[in-house]
Amino acid sequence: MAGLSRDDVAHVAHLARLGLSDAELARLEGQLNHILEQYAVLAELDTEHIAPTAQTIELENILREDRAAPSLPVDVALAGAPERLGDHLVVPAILADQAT
Amino acid sequence: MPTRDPTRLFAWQMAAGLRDGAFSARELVQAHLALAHRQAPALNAWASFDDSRALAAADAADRRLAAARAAGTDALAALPPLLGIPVALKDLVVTAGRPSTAGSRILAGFVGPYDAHIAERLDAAGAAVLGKTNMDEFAMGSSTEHSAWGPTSNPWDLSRVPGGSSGGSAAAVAAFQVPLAIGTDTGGSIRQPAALTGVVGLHPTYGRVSRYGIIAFASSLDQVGPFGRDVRDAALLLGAVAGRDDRDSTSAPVPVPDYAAALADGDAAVGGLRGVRLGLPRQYFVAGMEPGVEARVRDAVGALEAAGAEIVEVDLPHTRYGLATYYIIGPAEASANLARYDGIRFGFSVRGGDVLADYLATRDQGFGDEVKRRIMLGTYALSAGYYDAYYVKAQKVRTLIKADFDAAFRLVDALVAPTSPTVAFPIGARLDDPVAMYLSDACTLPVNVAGLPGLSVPCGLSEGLPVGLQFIGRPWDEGRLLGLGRAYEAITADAPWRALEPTDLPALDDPATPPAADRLFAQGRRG
Repeated sequence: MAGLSRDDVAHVAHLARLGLSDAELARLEGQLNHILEQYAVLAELDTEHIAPTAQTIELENILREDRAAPSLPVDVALAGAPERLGDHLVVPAILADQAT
Repeated sequence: MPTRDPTRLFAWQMAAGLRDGAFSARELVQAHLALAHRQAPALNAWASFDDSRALAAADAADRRLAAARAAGTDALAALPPLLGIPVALKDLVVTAGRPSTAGSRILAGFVGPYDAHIAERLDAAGAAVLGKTNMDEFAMGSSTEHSAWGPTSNPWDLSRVPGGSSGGSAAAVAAFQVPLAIGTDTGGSIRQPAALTGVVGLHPTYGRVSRYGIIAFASSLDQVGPFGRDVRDAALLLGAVAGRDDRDSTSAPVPVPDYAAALADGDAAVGGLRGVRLGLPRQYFVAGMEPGVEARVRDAVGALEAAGAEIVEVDLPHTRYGLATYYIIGPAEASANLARYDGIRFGFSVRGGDVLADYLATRDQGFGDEVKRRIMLGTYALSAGYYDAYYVKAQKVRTLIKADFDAAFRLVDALVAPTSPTVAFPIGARLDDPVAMYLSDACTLPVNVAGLPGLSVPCGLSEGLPVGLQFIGRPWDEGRLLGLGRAYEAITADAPWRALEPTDLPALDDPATPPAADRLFAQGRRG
């Protein structure tokens, strides 16, 4: 498992939608590589025929009655919105030519 | 009892005092609020207080107590055990109309739209919620230094951490500011701070307590559990919140016993050890464990053996892979869970010009260093080309770690081990070395990886600081762990260290003590 370059770190930051400063990227490059070195220990284990475990209690097919019930009132759901217009959240236009 | 300070009592004693009329619920709640407010700057255990809600709950409790007293002994006995008892919630338990920040700037000013399941349960039980406790941001950390609101101190030594991530809950309980507190434990975040502050903490089986309304960190690992100053109190709080809730599909439809009622006292508790087989995992006496911690734990194991338990050394051969497994699965799940903080729907928001710029700026300024580190790790482990090498590999090793425990539990009834390899460390000591910080949880995180219950109880002091003893059980076997913890308390009831209060309690009341927030500045660090 090869180490991460500065460009790799910047790419992962973009995937994670973190606008990191150059200083943060530099610090993370060292720290992430040090942590990834600890991960390398897992390569010692032959796990080819081992099934993965996603969760430890064997609950499956949790069913409930398909019945209408009240959900959060709009005012409560939108109470924490940074910007609101009526019953809507305000976001910047996604398509540039539709911006007003 | 009236001459004693009621904050020094256990919750089960407070319940008796309320029924006897030794004090009212209002007096009890006011005494705790006064202490917690007065010591808030020096300890920094709380993120927010809710005096009016707590006092309203106290007054309601006093009315129920008066009515029951008028109706007779049976009516008093039928009242819920936590009626009028002060409780703290970790600052990631959402409550309607009240703030919850999860220790993060990105949730500054966030007000809960609804009550978490456990908050509803505590209200129904008549408990008085005093407020929310400080924590590592999004529960990521082992020291409570990674809070946007500054570090919490350890009541045994204010220059040291209380452990984490539920460090505010642990410190508040240790300092007698509240008898009971809720925490969450994803890799040790209840048990490790319980150990470092000298209190009792329980991580229940994954699925035992509903997480509806709990701000998520790692969904296959997170679990909610109690802190108390003795095992009976922890049992009372667990019993009040455990059980299936339809709004959390991972909460299990497994019957919940009356944990507190099942506990014995004195000789009867000790007698329960006869014929019990306890496994001592060789691999939990890890490199880097402090000799004083190992000595206290081995003393405790010896005391259990002398009292009738059979001690068997067992192997958990994949223990050394636990840290890497946990630090792939946890961050991977966190990176997905924390994608919801986008600056658009709720919480902190920075406008950057377009949607992408909004995300980048909001998340850069809203999240702290440790959360960014884990989001980066998780995003990388889940990214194209690395998913199989890291995430799937870790899930396969998870199977092996769980199989180790399954094999051990064919030989023994429960495991006994250290909780933390070290006592509380100085504030700032591990902040620049994430791997050293992660090793704090070497003895607790395999238990989360396997989804098992784990209990930490105090077992003495090393260098004047508390040491924790951990009992690990089969799934749903919390009752047995509590019984073992109770037996250990009974064996050591007369030990001199049991009579000691945290060393720095007087400093918490000294106006000359600088605020806890300054202790990171003293290390040349930002809070």
